[in-house]
Amino acid sequence: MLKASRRRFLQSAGGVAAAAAGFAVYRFICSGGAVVFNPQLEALIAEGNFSADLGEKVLQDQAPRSGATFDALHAEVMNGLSERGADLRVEIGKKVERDFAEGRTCRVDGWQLSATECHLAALAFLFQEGGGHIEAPAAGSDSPISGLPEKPIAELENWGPRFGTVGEGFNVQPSGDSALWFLFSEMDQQPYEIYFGGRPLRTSVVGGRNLITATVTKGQMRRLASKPDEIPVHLVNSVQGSKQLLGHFSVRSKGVEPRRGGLEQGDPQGTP
Amino acid sequence: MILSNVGPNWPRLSYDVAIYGGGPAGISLALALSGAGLRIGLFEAGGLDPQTVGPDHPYRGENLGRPYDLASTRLRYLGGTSNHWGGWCRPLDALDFSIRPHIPLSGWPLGREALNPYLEAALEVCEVPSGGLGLAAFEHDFGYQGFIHHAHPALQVKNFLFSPPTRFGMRYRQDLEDAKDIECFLDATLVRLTTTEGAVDQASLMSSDGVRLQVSADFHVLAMGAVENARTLLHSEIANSSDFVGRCFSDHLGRTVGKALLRFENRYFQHAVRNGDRQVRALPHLSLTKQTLQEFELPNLGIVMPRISSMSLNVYGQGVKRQLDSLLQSNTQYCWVTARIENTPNPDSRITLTNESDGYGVPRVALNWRVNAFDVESLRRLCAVLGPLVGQAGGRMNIDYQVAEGAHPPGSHQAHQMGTTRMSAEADSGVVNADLRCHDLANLYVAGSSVFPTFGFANPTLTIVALSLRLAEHLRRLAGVADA
Repeated sequence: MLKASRRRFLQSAGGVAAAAAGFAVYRFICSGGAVVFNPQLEALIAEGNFSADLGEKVLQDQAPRSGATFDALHAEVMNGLSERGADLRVEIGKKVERDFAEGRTCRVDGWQLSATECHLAALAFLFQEGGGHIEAPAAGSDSPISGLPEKPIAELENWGPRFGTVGEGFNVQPSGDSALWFLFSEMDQQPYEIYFGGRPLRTSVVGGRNLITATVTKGQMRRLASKPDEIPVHLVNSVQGSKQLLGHFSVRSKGVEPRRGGLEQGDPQGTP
Repeated sequence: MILSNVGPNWPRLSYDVAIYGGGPAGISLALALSGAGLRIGLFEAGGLDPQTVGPDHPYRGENLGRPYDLASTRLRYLGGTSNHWGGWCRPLDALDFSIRPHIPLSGWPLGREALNPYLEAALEVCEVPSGGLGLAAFEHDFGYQGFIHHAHPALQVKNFLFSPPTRFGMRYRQDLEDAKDIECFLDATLVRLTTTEGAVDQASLMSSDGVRLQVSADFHVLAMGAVENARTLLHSEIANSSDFVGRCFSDHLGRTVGKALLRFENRYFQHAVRNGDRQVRALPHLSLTKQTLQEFELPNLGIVMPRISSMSLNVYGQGVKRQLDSLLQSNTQYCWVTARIENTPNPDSRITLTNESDGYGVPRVALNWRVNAFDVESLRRLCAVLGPLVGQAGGRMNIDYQVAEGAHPPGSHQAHQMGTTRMSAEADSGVVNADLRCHDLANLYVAGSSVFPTFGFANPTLTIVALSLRLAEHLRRLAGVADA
């Protein structure tokens, strides 16, 4: 379970590579303010170098035995690596070789991988999920924003897509992930995040800071949109500790025609 | 000259050397003997063209063990099985000739070095371009930059090179026609050999229309393939004091055992390579060093990894690829992993005779092809060894080789029949000696892969031809024409 009192996510302008790639950068910060996550590793994960899909499988297969947590996984990856100065990717590569040489391997869907690779994938999954616990959180329950008060944060003009089909992506991006967009009339420079079914999405502010895009990964789609449902979509100000319901994303059975509306419905499968 | 049939009135024929079988072994032997003043008879059961494999085809037989297509894996016409040969060439490794404690019945009575000059000559007979390197080409690194076998000392490369492929019947037909000292008979099936005082005194042959022919010779050579060689000896009830005739039948069991992700530079599949300005086609196999094979008590092996589309990776495979691409800063390639592993001799894997005879009155064969449990276990151990080794070298493997309880190990045969008249130093552990002469008989020789005591993982044709060239030299020496 996420310990919100211990951690909070801050959207950061830092991370040149990540910014260039168009990603928002999330930084794990202790409640006391000290950075506990290696910035190079953070950047590698944020750039999408490691597979959350693979990490989800790692945790499904191995978490019941390992009882690993985010902190433990991070410590495992960083064990034996320099904290600063070195090229972390190169160091990780050498550590992976040592893993194979010394028999520290794991098997994921038949692939024989080094333990470090598995830990990195698991971290990528947890990073994506925004949680601090190894178990994939279920939609609705145990949401990290369930306790936040509802407050108006920004005036929403339009958003989309607003529906999808069970088992299928929507507004599918080249990466295979799905994307949501939100157009606000005005926004200040607070760090905003979009939550989908109570889980944070990778969120980017673009278009003069009144357009927000959010990515629903394939793994999130599998978990959150596996059956017909109305999924709540929130805007969250994690600094102020408030949330605003933006609408519900409708997951429909295959073959069910969506109810088409006017402008107020947005373009259900399109882009703004 | 080539005689298209034996005719009704042929007299009893007599030769210095009578060779039965017009495939790569028999044709290579006949032509290598030619020009030395010997009279050579070459007897091919088929004609110049392929025969329809009907229900009465002499090659049909029973299967008692692992399924095997006895009829279509062999070709009964001049050129023999070279007529559907893929042209793959690689000599057996020195390791294959050695005694290995973990492989029962291993060890040839001659070493690889004794065969090297004949292998060099066999490259020419089989028309194998080697880029001017000769035998060294099989171990040569043809600029394999970035291949994973460079990245770990336990890994090495073993090349296959390629014959056009040489169809021996077509390629050497004119040579047979032109040779004044060779009489090549078509439609002449060897039925039986009879012996007197420890030597073959007569061979009985028969044409498809029932004409019989008797052949006597100073030296008789069986060169009809591993099934027919054993069949003839069993039917003739000769050369079998060791009870090894027909035993240790083997073939190479090819098996795709999984998938891999490798740097794009890796090309463990057939492609054009260069040695200087000379281009050849090579198929580098990923293999393990001799020391590694011995350490893990593995038989010899080679692995090819042809590419497949990364689109067929599932979501987890795509994840593995994404991570590996990131770590290596390279675009990795998705590949099949196909292992060619040495099958080990199994005396219970054997050819016997049935009570049913073919149109020539020769009993049909029953084949009980068995694969040793050791071979299956070896493949499993290979899978366990390979993943971490390749992992250290920058690849990732997804290997899974399972055999259901009581089922035949999966995999397909390669039409490489071997082992049924095995070579041995001692008469009680084989059928022929290092000179390919039957231990029991003074003038009966066997050519072809039936004499292989162990089988390596390489296709046998190049070694078959080399052994025939070596046998030719031996017979010429015995005939007193060694200097011709």
